[in-house]
Amino acid sequence: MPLFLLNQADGGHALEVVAWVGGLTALLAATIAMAQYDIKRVMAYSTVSQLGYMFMGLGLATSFGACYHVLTHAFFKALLFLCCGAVMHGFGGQLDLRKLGGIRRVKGWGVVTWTMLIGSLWLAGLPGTAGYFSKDIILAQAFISDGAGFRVLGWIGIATAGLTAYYTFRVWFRVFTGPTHFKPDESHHDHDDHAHGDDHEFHPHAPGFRINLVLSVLALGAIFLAVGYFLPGGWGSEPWVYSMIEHSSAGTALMLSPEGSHATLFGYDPHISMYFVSGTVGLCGLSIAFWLHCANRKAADGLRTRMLGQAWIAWVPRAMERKWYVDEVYLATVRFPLWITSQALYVFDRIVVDGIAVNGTARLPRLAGEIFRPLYNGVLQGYGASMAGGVALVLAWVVWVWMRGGV
Amino acid sequence: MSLWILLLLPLVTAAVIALGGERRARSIALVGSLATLAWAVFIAMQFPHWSAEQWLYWPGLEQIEDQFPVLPGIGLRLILGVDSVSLLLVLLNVILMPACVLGSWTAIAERRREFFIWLMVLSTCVSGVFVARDVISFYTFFEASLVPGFFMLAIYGGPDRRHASFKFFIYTFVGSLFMLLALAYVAWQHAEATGVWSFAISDLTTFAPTLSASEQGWILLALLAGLAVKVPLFPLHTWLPLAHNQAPTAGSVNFAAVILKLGLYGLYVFVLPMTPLAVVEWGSTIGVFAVIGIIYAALICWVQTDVKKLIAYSSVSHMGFAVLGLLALNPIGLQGSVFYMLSHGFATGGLFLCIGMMYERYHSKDLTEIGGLAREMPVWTCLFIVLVFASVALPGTNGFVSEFLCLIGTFTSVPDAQSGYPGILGPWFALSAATGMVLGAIYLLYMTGKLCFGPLRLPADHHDHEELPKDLNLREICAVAPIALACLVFGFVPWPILHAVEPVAETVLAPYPALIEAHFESLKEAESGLAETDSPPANVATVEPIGTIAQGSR
Repeated sequence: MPLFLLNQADGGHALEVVAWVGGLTALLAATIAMAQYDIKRVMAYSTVSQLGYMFMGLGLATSFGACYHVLTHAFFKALLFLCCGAVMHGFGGQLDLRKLGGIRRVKGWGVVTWTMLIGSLWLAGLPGTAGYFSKDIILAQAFISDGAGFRVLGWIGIATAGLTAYYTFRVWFRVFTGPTHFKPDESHHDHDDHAHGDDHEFHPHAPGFRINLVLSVLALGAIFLAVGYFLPGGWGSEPWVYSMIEHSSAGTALMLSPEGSHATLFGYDPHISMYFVSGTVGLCGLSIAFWLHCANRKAADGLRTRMLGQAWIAWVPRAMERKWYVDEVYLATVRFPLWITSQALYVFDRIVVDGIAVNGTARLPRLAGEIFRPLYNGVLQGYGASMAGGVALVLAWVVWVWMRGGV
Repeated sequence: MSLWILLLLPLVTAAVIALGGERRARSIALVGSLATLAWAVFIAMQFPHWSAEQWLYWPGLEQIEDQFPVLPGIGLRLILGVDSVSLLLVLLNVILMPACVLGSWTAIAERRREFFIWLMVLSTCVSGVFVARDVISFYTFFEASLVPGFFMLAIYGGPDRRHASFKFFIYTFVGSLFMLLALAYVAWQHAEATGVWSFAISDLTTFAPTLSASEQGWILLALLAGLAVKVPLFPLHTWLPLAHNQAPTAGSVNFAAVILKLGLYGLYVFVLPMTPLAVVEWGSTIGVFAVIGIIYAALICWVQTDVKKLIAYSSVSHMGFAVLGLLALNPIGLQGSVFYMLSHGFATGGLFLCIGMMYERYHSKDLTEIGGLAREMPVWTCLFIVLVFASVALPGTNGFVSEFLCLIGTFTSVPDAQSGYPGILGPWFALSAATGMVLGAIYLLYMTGKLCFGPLRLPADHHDHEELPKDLNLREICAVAPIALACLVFGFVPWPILHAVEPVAETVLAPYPALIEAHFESLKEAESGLAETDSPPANVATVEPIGTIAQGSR
């Protein structure tokens, strides 16, 4: 961060680049998360998306927003992942949200259901949650910062907030509400240590006290961070969280953030209006998720089929399911050329370096031997002839020296 | 006496093995190698302050010098001695030896006695190279180490063992003949100049820098012919994958962990002090080969399906870092390089031990045939992964310390370095070498992923070993666990070793800053000389003073 600020002081654009990379990452990863069926993968891409927000915050020079979001995200994402893990543990490794449903009503799953709801609310950034406050600081900063480009970035962030609410509750509604149905993951079942026979019906095991305890603690931590936004802190009248970050190393960057700007959003201070804008957008995302995945569980599939049927839009859901082909692009541009190079080098190593250079050199003495071998063919006449030739040569040389000396 | 005992103990063990029966061979070898280890530790305890003058002779060794006048007329005496670098390498050798014995406990089923005899002889030869303080015994031990290596490879190796053993022997032997020529030339010049024959390394390294730049260039080339094959530097590495792949476990461990270090140690003990002018002039060229080797071998590693071959090529890649650290010509790089010798010895030696244990159970080391072993062999997987991490140079392992120091040394090896040690490499060398770190992570983790995780895959004709349990038994854990532990311990606590090496590094590198400054000045003069063509060639003017500087600072 200090490095980027140095660049900014010199009139560079490093921070803008950081902000844009962050914002676009948030949007892209959110669209990927919308289309995944593996609940842990949804959470993983959501993490990428939230990290995008954090980078956006850093790029907008609100290190308080970025750091606060890191803190809140740490709690609710850990909570969400552990909830997903509990589901995975209990349902034979099943992570596919199409094959799970209505877990809320299965005996023993109450704590998981409600802590996951807390995590989802916090991630979706619904009003009053920690995710709501931390995300809003970053988004509002986009409208405070100078330049029309940042306003665009801010709207991208707000749109992403809506998507976040949608995909988070897509998971929650799909897995925890609706008619109860579940089946274990086939590939996992083969190695299941609990040895459910194949002829038995699958029985999920509800999470024990220890899992519930961990989930509850994390949920309490997430709640506390929301409250911490209002708690008065040790230094002056600032909120506790704010002063904690301000007096850390991140605070050095905080001093330089362009506070006191008079930018507005809908005629109000962006921080104030953002509470309403992002809250509304979040509630919209939640409502769409509710409508598609809880109230009318068939609708999502129908929508998907209809979209895939329309040629002009079909590529969007397909690309989202395939993660915008990021993995494929890396495969084609980095891994495959490198792999081909490696194979070529290995062939080169065996044939040229080892074959021609090394073994070729090693063959030289033998070659020399092959050249002279006919001389040693065991035929005495040959030896005699070469001996005579040699003697003649020596004699000729002696005579030549003698004649030169003699003259 | 203590160093003589260090060399004699394994030989005595070998003799006892020869007298003892086939069945007791391995236990005798274990006791002997442990005794040698204990003795080496005893020597290390005596090491004063763990910081040495350039050549530190043990009290009493100077008397031994005179007791072994082989050919007094030409000054041929056997001299032994250690500084902290060679002591550390001796320790590496003797620490790995019991592990090798334990690793070959059941793997060598036939001609056991002979195998352990060769192993003990190898231990003596390798220790001998490290403690030799005259070029004749250095060369003798250097060459003698080929013999046990050859037999271990040729008798107990894999299907292609004949080819591998001959290539290993001839390749390294031909190279080291040139080294002998170079050393003999220096000794002859020394006798010409002083009128006294001496083969002591200390005499020759004091004298050689006074030779002219072109002579030093030829000496460097000839020394490299012998040492670069052993290191091995690209493109002289091709004996290594073959030999490491075909050798039995203990052979692979020894080849990778200590035989390769002979080459690097030779660079440290001969090339750096003897031919400073040539090193300054040609060092960056050698560095280019080292960097090529790092990337080239790392890429080749990635497409190997044979685990042993993969690890063998990884040695080629890793040794490039150590060479770069050496050529950085600053104390950080040199410390890193020495530390690299140790950490590579532990990590790669341990990896070969692990692969040997896996091979003993499943008779396969083909990544396409075998995999998912974490479920079958959890303890093995744990140890294996620690060693892989050390090899990847993950922070917290000794590999990280050494690789990082080598790279820092290379990076700061620039003409106007702040450290007072100007260098000839620079950031570009460090950056391109650092890609080798990334590639190293790719191929080693790829191997680990295939071998340890995923669904269990075993060769079709596999049947359980009668003698061995599924996972490692206590003997095998005793062989590998200390090595894995050492990787972690020296990753967190590298200072004792670095402190021990620092004064030696500073002494060896003492003449270099002045030489390098003179080198760059002469380059500048040559450039300006091109502008005004009548000025004299720069190297003639600067060579002589450089030689005297080098001599004066010793």
